[in-house]
Amino acid sequence: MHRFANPARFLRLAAVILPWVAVGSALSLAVGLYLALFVAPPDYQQGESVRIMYVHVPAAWMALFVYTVIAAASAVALIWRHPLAHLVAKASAPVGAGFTFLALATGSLWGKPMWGTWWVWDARLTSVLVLFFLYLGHIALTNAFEDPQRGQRAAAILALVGFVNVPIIKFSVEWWSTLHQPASVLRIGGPTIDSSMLWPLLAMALGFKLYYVALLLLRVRSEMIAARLRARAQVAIEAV
Amino acid sequence: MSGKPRSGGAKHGAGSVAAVVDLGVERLESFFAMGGYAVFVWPAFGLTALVMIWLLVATLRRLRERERAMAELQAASPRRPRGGAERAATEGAG
Repeated sequence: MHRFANPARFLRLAAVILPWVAVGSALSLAVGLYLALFVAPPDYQQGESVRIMYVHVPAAWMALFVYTVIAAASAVALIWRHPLAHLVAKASAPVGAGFTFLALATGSLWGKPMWGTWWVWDARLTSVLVLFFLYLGHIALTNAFEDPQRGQRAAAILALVGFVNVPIIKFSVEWWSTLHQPASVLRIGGPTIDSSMLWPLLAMALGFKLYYVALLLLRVRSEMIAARLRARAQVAIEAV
Repeated sequence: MSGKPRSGGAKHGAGSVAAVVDLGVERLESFFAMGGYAVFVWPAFGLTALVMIWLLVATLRRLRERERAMAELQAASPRRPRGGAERAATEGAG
């Protein structure tokens, strides 16, 4: 039973945390949406289209954050063989892929009116597209093998190898001359964005983050049950 | 642009209610118009909501399915105290 002792503790902890995180997310998103749509001012250059920022930036931040979680979980899984670590990575990948897709799509919807183009092969956009493919690759590898452990291990290696893309994405707007604008929030010297826009952005970002945590708790629980179902099926087969 | 003129003989009160309603409709329309960028802004928010809600629903649905399958299995064949074979299989697949 020792293999599932920690996971059992996880399930108990998850059950306690989940309601708080879920409610916190809903509240943050509600406040964030209200601020973003009704309170925040239009931009003097971009007009009302700047409101896309309030979904685009949180989605992009989550795309990077979730990949970092997957990379950390993969390292833990490969080095310490903690049984939950692989499940955290497996559970996170589709969510991260969803956020990356949203970052790209909302970015295009913002870029078309502002830059005059849906897409450009600049360093930021290209590296985020690569991130999207890394997520898809992770999901594909996880499910590619009959033995789930082999798939998880292959995906973990991909996650670690691909992690170099995360700092590339972050610094792409500094290292290359890009159409995408440079950092205005997470930068040395502090944010350059006005607080009337910063607070709605942070509220949305918090809502997105808590949403991911809630989803993660649900999905890891789901994966643990799936693993137990497979185990019982295995026992039934071997008993024949 | 702000609505039909009220008919003569309407009381002063009805006239200003109409003006308030017209103002409200105008503000609602301009809100949805998003300064001319509506065709970009609303799909961006809509797509975001769609993806995030869909992920949540799909997650919950699969969780319920698996919980139900587990409950059925445990009802059909209640688990023995963990013997060697089952633990080995669990550790192999976990």
